[in-house]
Amino acid sequence: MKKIGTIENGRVLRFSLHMRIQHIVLMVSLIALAVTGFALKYNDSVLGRFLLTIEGGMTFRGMIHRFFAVILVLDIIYHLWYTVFTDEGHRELMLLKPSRKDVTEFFAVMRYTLTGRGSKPEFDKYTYREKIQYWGVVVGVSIMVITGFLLWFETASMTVMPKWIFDITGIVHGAEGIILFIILFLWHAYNVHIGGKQFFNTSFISGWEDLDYLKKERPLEYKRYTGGGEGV
Amino acid sequence: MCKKQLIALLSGIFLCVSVKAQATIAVEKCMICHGKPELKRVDAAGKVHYLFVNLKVLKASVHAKKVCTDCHADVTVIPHTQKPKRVNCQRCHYKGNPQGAPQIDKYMEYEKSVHAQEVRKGNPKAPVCQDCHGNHDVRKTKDPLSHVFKNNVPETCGRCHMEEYAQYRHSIHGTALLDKGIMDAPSCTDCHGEHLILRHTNPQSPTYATRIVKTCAHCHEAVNIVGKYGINVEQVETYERSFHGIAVKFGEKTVANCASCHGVHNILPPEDPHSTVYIKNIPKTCGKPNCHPGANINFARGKIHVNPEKKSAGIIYWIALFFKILTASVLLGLIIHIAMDLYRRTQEYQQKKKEFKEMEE
Repeated sequence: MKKIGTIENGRVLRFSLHMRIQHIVLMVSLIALAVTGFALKYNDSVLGRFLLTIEGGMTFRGMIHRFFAVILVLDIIYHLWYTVFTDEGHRELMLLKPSRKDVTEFFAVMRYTLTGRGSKPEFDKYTYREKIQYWGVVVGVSIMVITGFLLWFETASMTVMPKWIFDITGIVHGAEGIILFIILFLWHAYNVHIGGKQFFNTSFISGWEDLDYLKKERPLEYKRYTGGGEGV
Repeated sequence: MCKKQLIALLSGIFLCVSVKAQATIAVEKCMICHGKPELKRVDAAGKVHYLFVNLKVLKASVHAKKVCTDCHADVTVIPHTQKPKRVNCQRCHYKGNPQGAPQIDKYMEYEKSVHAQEVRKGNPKAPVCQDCHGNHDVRKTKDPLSHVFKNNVPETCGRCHMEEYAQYRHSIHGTALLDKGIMDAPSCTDCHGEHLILRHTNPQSPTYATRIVKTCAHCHEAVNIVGKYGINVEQVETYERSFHGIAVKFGEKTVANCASCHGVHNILPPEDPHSTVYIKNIPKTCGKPNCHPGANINFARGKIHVNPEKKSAGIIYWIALFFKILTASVLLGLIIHIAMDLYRRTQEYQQKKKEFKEMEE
């Protein structure tokens, strides 16, 4: 398996196979969960009814939703193993550690985008945006998994908690799902596929990225891969 | 010519009068035996059949002007040699009949009903018209003495459906209609239909699992019906928004509908200790083997029909509101963030285009 930072033909490997598998499984399961979840949440709208029809009705919709919930949980276990027990995963996690630099980065970006003065800060692999997205997903998915399992095993969970807490669980599951959807499908997808170098960046599948583009957009990461020097 | 016509006319009148006379005599002839209160017959099984006909009752009915043989048409000689067959009302009650006997398509729906199905199967207990409407005492539906007048319907149906009648009689609906005289309260036919009564397992029935909500909602959603009596009309809406309600809407039969929790004929208000939704009975009601086996009193801790959009929902309302604000702010924040980014990118693009032009020049 090729290591992160491998340089070939002017391109560099940014995402290892581990990361790509985790990401694609996460992406597929979250899309499936969102689509089947919306069918229930917006059942009285045209969109919801349409989704329910193509999902084969209430029973089958629920089965698809729970199937992908299990896939998501398996992916989470994979991710936990990866971040805790592999050197690579551990390094990537440390790059995602929130720091004071993120705050200064944010204000520098704001100043640049609003006034055009100054310059973009020197970004590393994960900017404040990626960090918010990653930790947002960590918190959001945790809430979704916990509330989701409480709703799945409703009789068991309601024997240990009052009905009104169960109602809240349902509301939180529905609302948090929407927030996650907004963060991922609006912000994350925009950053990667529209606000990036090209429409639909395939790097999440291949793992490779052009060095030239990286030098411009992620100078610190570029320096780390190339040992601080120019041209490899 | 003229003579012939006159003879024809006279003979016609004579015929009419003689038929009429014969028939009128028939009533009195019938009454020779059937006018005796003690007239009875004991059948092979030892069952006693009382055969007395109270002429006063017939005269007070809608059929006051009819004679016995109009309905008992198979009786041609008196005394009749055989037991007369069951009366067939359709002899007169068909569309376009000359007697002007009322007939609308609604009556014909009976043919599709479970009662007619049973009659066709040969079930001797299955009812035909006269079993509900009465035989010699048929009165107009709006007549308070009619067997099918709203207040009398429970007893009429209860002659066969005794257990259901007993449960209904003590339910909130039964006491409201029969004890308090609240005419808005439902009788049997308000939920089950009139002529077109179907089994509750028939998907066309208004009491079928997925259709019962609409049937209850007919009154329980209406401000001008139950609203008058201070009954909450929001229950239908809150149910429809719940998981149970959504699942029923899309054809699920295994989730709870109104009757699953509130009962069927035995519906009582939640304050009544006999009610299935009385707080102490909730664990048993929710904990049915097919529903939530093992349910305990926690199922009753909190409102069942809860509307998160109303302040009366308490903490649920505030949490729902919090998430609404959070979602709106996340959405707004991100849209602003993206819009700013797009703005800067177009600025950069313009700048580059300008530089490129200058370079070309």
